[in-house]
Amino acid sequence: MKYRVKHVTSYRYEEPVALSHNAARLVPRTDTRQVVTRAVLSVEPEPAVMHRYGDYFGNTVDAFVLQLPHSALTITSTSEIDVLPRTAPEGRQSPAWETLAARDLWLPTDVAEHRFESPMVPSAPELYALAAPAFTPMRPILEAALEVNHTINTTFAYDPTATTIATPVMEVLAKRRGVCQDFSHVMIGALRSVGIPARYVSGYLETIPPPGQIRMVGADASHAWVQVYCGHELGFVDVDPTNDCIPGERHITVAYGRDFSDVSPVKGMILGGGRTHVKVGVDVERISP
Amino acid sequence: MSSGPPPAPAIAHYRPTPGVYDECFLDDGSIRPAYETLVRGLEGMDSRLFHRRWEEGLRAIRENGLTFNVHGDERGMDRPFQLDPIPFVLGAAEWDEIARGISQRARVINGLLADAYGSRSLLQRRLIPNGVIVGHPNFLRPCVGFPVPANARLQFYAADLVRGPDGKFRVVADHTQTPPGAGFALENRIVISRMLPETFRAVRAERLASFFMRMRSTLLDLAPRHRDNPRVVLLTPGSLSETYLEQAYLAQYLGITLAQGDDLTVRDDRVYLKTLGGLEPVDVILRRLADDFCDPLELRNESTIGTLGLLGAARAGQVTIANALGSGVAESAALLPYLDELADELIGERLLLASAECRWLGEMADPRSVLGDDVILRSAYSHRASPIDPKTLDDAALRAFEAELMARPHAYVAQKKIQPSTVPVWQDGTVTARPLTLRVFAVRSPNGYVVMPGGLARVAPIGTNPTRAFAEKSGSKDAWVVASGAVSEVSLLRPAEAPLTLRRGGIDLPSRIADHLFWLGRYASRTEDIARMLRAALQCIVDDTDDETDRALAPFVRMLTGLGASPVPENTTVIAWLLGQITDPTSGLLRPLREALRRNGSSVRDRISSDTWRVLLGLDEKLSHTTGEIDANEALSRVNDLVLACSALAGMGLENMTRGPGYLFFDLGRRVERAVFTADVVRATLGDASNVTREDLEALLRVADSVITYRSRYLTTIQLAPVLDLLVTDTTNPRAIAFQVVRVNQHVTELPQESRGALPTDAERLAMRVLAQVTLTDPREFARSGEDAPKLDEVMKSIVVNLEALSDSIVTAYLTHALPSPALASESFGGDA
Repeated sequence: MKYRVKHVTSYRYEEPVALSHNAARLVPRTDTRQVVTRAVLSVEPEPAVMHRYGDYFGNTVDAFVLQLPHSALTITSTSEIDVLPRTAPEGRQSPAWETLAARDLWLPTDVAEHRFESPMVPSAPELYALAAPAFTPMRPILEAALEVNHTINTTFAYDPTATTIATPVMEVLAKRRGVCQDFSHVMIGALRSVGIPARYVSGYLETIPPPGQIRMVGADASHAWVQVYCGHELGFVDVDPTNDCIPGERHITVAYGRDFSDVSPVKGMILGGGRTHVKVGVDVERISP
Repeated sequence: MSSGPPPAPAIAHYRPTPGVYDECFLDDGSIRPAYETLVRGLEGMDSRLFHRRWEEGLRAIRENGLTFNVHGDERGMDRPFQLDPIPFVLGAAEWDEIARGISQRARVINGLLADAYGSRSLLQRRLIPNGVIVGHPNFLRPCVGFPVPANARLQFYAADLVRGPDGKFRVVADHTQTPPGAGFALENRIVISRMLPETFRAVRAERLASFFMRMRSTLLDLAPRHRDNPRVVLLTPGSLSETYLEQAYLAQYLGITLAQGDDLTVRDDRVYLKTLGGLEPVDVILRRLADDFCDPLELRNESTIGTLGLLGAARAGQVTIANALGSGVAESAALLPYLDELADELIGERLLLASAECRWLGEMADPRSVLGDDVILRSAYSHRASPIDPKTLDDAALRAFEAELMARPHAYVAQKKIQPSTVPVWQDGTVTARPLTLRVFAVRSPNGYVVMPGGLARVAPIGTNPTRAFAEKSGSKDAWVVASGAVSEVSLLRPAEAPLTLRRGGIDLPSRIADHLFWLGRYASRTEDIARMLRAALQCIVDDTDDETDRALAPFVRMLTGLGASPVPENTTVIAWLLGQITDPTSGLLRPLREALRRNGSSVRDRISSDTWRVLLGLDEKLSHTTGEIDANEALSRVNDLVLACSALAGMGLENMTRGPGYLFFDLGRRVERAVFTADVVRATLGDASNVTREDLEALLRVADSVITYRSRYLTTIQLAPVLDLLVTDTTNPRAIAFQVVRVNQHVTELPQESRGALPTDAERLAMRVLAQVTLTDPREFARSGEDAPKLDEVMKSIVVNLEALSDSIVTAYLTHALPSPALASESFGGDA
């Protein structure tokens, strides 16, 4: 499936901004399930400094600085991605969860680091309580993870007004409402609480569903889901608590990290500016099957 | 502090605790060889001489302001750092082992950091559990893979050592990001070596200066550019930091600029210091900011004390930060169990200096099983958290802690308890045994790590955590290392380097400092003027019930309320209200000024002379003495003291500050404030000048300290016009508005400017406007009544408005870019837009 994604972020400031430092993670990753054929980032007004580099997790970062006073900023990312066909792994193919959760189990560093607390996902007994019922003895890890996925999907309400980017996971847990970012953080915290490595994925969903299929929640904007570690063979497997599914060809991966703070699509710090107005538009267009 | 001189430390009467290793005495009661000379020196010292020198030492400490601030301490942020007069002494051979051990350990840690931020092969080869590094909250992923000069992330290092009953020193904590305390060690040395000069020479203790020289050259060598004359700054979290004054002291001693995060800015991937003269490139940063606070863009967003884009500049190789960002991960207590293996792996040696016996709980199936052992539980990631002794927990607390251990075992380390060695401490006239922690410091050099021959010996109250950085109530000692060869005599005062280019002025004054100097000037002037006013009012009091007193005080009541004092309440006498202005911490006029003076004063600590600082401390002390129930006589003597302290500060500014931008801003602040004050007081007292009494005019003359000048000119006749001339238009009276305005006009033309245009600046224009206004005022006109006569209150008000506009224009033109801290613009994400 081939897609063209246009992601536009525009800021308007009520007072001029003297200095603006930004880091954007808007270029999708190329990996075993998708190939990025084109990725262009344009910034208006033109930045004084702009670098593209790969971050710790292998995500592409565009860092740029605006040093002249400005009262608007527009960041446009255009990319083309070929999402490869694949079959979702079956839950029972995965190893028993206990074989991955032992504390003294040695795992490769890039897996092990997703077992620990991270800036936006603390550890808490409430998260353990959410996960525990699914982790019955010797149950295959993916099966257990999908049950947690389902639990979150059915017991949390999708409500864009309930939370903001800064809402802590514990508050989401208490309110039982939120958006894809919140559900993903809850899911990650729950999996880590039983010792299973889990990471956060930022990406996109196809905006307009193919005929006969339903429009998924979270399209028209950035989307987020989770990858759960299912042992050496399967590696990290995608699960989407917002849509209660294993992502297929309609999910486009942009970046992954321990939680949102590692992969924030546009992170900017400014001097001045007064009140800031932000507008984000995402358009995911299927250009060939 | 205490009454009557207690005896000098009689170490002969000191009794160490049986079964505990004592640094001074052997088990059989004889003195250890290293201590012999010291004990003899102390015992041979005349008790009075000892006390006199000790008092001098304490004063020096107070005056140097070398104090430490414990957050949340209600008694104020500057609590004197407690120094013990009896030094800690180590013999040459024993020290040599420590020094070699520390130097080696620094090499190992540096190798570990290179690996952690490079290939991470130590983790892949399972020499360290993953969780110790990648589970550490301060493992800074943005710092992975970016090069640092010579691949050396550890330039400065410190370790805390404790000696156990077996006589062996063990490392209980490593300090690898911003090792604090070297400045304290230096200060202790200066005080103690002056106090016991004969003994110091007799012991032949190693000098510290060469270590600080080394520190300085190491910093200069780190410069990626401007190699001939690099600019080095000490990046401080600011005056609220608990070791701020140590940082200021160190910066001054090393001759580097003290800068806060918002004194720096990153442009084109380079770091600049914001100065009055523009942006000045920075090549090396000695940071005292914790890792994750350094850059709000890439590290901790909510940090308001970092510098935006700093990490990017470091990544681009345009600035070197010491220690490298991310180095904090190596001070994890969770590494202690693995360091010996790592030494073997990284440098092919075993550790010369053992670590405290520790176990990281992150891999234990049931971490609760350690609770029965003789251990304390320490945070794996932070030295600031107090360790937990499970034996001291009650049942409920123990159960809660067990749950915490099960949920987050990786965050804890169980350390076998060590019975620390004791040292004699002089306290309230007796010498008692207290547990010792020795902090030693190392700096990287081209030939390996050099260790400071000495250190910071800290004595904690019994039972407290020896690893905590500067635990409350802990004291410190100078540490003497007996020289094995000749003692080298070096001083940092003249570093042997290329001669410096001669410079005048200080165009590189950070804008923030100029800002604080300006406001310090304004607040100091206001404090002085209000103190003078209160003094003049108190001098009018003849008798509490006298009608004449009330009449005499009436103009003062108007002045004080005009300056913002709340009106005299119904059921209060004027005198009680007046005393309240001095003593009341909330509604009094005087007390709020203390906070402002402290804030601005402590922020310029490294920019003013020790004498000026001493005067400021004295003023602060006087202001702190203005609480409590007092009568009019007592109040008079207190405001008198205050006026004198203020005058001393003004005199210091006049005599001791070089006439650079710093002085200009300080004096501008003072002049603007005094002119505003005088105009306000004239307006509050005389109103529109339609109903002027003799008491009003007399009060004005007294507030302006101009009674004698007036009498010498006009004898005893008091009239409106000559009084107004003296207070407003007289350019020869240092209290008159005109006098201030003339100086303000001179100063504003001398302010630094990047380029001088044909037209005057806003500040110059406003200064000229006020000058014209004052010069064109004819005091005689206010005395006549009539429709066309100028209104005194309106003229005074207009002067104040113009002066405040002038103040604003100075702040805007020179100082505001120091003010705003970056705001998180926004992050677009989550669900529907």
